[in-house]
Amino acid sequence: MLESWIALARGPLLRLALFAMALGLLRHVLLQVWEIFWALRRAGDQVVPWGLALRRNLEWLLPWRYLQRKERRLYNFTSFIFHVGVIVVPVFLAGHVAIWQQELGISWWRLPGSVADWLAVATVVAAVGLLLGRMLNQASRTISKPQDWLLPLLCAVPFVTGFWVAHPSWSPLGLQAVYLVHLLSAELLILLVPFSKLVHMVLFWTSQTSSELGWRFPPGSGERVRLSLGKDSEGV
Amino acid sequence: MTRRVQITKGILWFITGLAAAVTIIRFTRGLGTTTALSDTTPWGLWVGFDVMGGVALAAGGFVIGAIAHVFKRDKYHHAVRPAILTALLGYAAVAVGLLFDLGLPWNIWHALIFWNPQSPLFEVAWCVMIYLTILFLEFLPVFLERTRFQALYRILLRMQLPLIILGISVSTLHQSSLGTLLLIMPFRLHPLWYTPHLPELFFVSAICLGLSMVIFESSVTAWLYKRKPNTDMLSGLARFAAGALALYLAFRLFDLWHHDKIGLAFEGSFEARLFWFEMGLSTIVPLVLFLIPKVRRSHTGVFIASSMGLMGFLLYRIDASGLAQVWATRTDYFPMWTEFAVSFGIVSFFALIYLFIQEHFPVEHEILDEEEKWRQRQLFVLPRFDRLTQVWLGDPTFASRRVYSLVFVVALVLGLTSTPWQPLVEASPVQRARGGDILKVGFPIGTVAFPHAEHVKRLGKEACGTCHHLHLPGDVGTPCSECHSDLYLPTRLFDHFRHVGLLGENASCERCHPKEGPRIGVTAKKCSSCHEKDMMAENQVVKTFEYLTAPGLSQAAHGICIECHKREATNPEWGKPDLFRCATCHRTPVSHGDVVLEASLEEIEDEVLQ
Amino acid sequence: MIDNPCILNDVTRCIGCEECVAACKKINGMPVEDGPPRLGHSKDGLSATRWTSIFRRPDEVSVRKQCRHCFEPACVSVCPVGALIKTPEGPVIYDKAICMGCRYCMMGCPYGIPHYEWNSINPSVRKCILCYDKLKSGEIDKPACVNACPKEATTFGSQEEMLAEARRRLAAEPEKYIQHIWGEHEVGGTSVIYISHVDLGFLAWQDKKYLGTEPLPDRTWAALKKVPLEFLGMASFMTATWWVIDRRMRLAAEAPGEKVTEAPETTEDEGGER
Repeated sequence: MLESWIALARGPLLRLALFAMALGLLRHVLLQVWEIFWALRRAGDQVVPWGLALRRNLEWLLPWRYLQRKERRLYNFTSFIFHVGVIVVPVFLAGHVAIWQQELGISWWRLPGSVADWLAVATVVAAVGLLLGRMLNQASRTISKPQDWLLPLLCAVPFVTGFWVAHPSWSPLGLQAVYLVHLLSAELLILLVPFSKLVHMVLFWTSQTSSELGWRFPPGSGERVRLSLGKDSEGV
Repeated sequence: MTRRVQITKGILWFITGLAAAVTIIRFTRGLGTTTALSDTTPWGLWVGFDVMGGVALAAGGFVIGAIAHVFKRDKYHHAVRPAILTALLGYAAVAVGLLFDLGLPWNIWHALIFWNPQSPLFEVAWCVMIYLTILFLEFLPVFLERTRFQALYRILLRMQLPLIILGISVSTLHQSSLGTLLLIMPFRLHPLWYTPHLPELFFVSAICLGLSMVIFESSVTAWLYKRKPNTDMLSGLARFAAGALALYLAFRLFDLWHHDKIGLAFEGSFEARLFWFEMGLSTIVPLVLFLIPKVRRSHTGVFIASSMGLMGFLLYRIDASGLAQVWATRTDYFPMWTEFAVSFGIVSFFALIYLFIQEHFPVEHEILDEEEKWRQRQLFVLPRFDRLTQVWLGDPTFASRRVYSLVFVVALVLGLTSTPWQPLVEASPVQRARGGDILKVGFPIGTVAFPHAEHVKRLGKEACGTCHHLHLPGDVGTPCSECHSDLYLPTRLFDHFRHVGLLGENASCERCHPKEGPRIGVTAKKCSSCHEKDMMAENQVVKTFEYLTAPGLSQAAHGICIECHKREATNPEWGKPDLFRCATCHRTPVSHGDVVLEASLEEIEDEVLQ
Repeated sequence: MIDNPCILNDVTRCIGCEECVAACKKINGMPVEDGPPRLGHSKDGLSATRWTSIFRRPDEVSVRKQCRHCFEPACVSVCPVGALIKTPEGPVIYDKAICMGCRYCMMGCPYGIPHYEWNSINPSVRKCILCYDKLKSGEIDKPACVNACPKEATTFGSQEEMLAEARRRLAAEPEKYIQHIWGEHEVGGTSVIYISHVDLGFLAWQDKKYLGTEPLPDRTWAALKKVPLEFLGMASFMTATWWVIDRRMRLAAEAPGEKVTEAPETTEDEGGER
């Protein structure tokens, strides 16, 4: 019984999730580029500080200065750990790379097993920490929406179950059941990327860029760009 | 833009998205993966619907051209531009459909330089190319009307009549040649459809289909853009359609009667029922409806009658190019959903282009003016945010594009997920051959015990016909492979979960997989490294086996069994094992002398022995 | 290479050993195993990798199937680009470089011979070519299948020789054979002929019926040869109609009060009939 569910989750559902994420993100990027292009054209201001925008984006991507900020230090650090874990573990886990190699014949660097374990634990702890930070801070709590609470939780599920799959003796459930939950939760997460605020994984640069470009626009177009900046107030 | 148009466009984008997914698979994995076509049914939906049907759907262009310009019926002038646009896009759709259907689409231009005037398809190809050019020239004035190329516009307008007459003549040729295509298949096509007058029938049916299409399309456009339909024109067209349908009906029935085949239509066979269904849908019911003056003046009436005619005549094309051939090939063909997706996707895509041109160029001036007013109004609507992704939706034109692109991407993803990635092979009721359960090696050695009772239990008592009388009466020896086609395929044996589960706490990847390098099947230990005893002790014959898979029957017989039996046959102690005789497995002609056969096999055996 | 090469298949002699199939596969470099059958595959065993096959009837009669290399082949006549070629010597061969993949040849063949490489992304039409290139270069003097046959159930020679041989066998054992040479006249005559003790009508579509002696290309040509006439006829009819109507309308406009006579409604339909 579980076997056929796993077969379904490993085959069509995984494909559905991956295709949905890839194509959904591609759609967001293309639309965003198009809209920025039109915004620039309508603005008519040819002096665009591309260098500044690029630097802002790099600073955002390599957040050394961001981490040195005084306010909410712990929260920022937790967020950083969380992002590193969420990206590094699924992509470089040896087991995952092996699947890619088996299915598509491509392969890359693999994370050593023990590092992966520790990083997974750290990610789960960080996810809980982020939720706590959001809960304890009055300002964040008021602007939080349901998806802000649900997404970190959902992110943690594949990590917990993945850890159990790697170490079946720690697991409270049977291997197959845990594996199935791992697959399904990860697929749900992947599927949700283009339909939730997780889309910031490809659209982060537009908020950084438009915040730099926005100041240069003539008064009329500023209104629209200001609206597009609204995303910034969310934090990462 | 009305709400109706927006919803319609959303649906069209969805279908186009599905088709786009199939397109990717079609051009990377081939026809075998995306179609149910086979050697017995090499032409399917894509030829029947896209090409045969598509060309006829676009016949409205030349019919309306004739009515309005040659016969000078001025009240139909309104229908000319939409009809020519439909024809232009219809032919373009046919060309695109051909690209899907051709096995080597990159060679489509070969029709230009490699000539075979004997071939009806060659004639069709050339006429379609010429007519597509003519249609483009006929339609070009619409693009030019509101531009500064007024000189060219006026020249083209003056050329309109010669172009239309040329178009009518070229259409006559290829519409009838589509029927000529089928003249070569007297042995495939059922006699109710096959007649030497197929070319003429196809031409008349193209006129019917073209008129139905013009009526259908103008009533749909009127509904979409909430305009009052031009009842006067529609009822006039309906009268023309009634005339054409009556002509077609008389022609078809007279032809059957003339060739003494009318009896076939009352046989009660599948083909006879198909014939009457097709005639009813395409001709008889629409004809009756069009003959009633009240229906002719009702918007709904002409819409229903014309859409029935449309479907009926499309069915005629599909019947002639496929359904009415099942009778001869005895092979069922039902298009895969991917084929439907491409066929409807092409239609949807070109319908979107149709709407785009309607909304941006003066095809029908009222629609264009409405649209331009609507576009002006949109400039003053406030921008919006998407709640989920918190992304700016832009102004409403952008918002609608976001919706369409979302619909398109969702369809694309669903399509890519559900499209088959492997070619279609004969379905087998047995997914994994479980040797021990089904094949019981009985006595004497070399025969396979067939558990008849178990098969009866599994298939049901009425299932005798599944094995016996499969093809013809007297077929008593249906081979196992008729159902169990995977007998011949290597079978996956290894069950990873079972192993992990059975090993329990002792399970660790490194027990089987290497520490370094990928942990996949190929690099893992051989089964024999743990199962040396289980696999070797009982079965002396099978000493080599592939990792994870068991050999298929023919592979096993030819590669393992026969080799061993040949070798053992030279051992004087053993004598000659039965399996070495080809005849033990391969059936032999009885009617022609077992003596001869025995002798010949003895000879071969002797040869091997020496 | 001899002119009018011909293969005579004697069904009574075939033991169904499939040596011909193996030899055909070997000389044409095709895999020994055919792979899983495609849904709707030909029941006679022919496929893109099996250009000749042994059709086994339930009554244990084995009949070898292959391309008949018709004198007036339907496949050659229908190919829009001429990718199938009737060589001057006789065999019908295929040129992949020209083919568009329309598969009209497969629809046109009365015997269902051409098969397609459905699973390929660059597919070809596949069928027996009577070892044309190897016979022509003199590498072999008989087609591989004929060479491989241990029972002389399939023999090779010129059309005249083979017909004479067939008639000789029919006359020598009249009670053994049905007195008919399949392929002598069917669809205008074919280069692969059969003699048999059972009716071979089942080898074509719509089995148990005779194919008739009329070559199939004649049927399409009868319609196609009228094309230039049709074109001119339609063009002049339309021009004349326009001229008449235009003139009448202009006259009517010049003489007010007179009503324009309308043309009959279905004129444009009648125009299509010949």
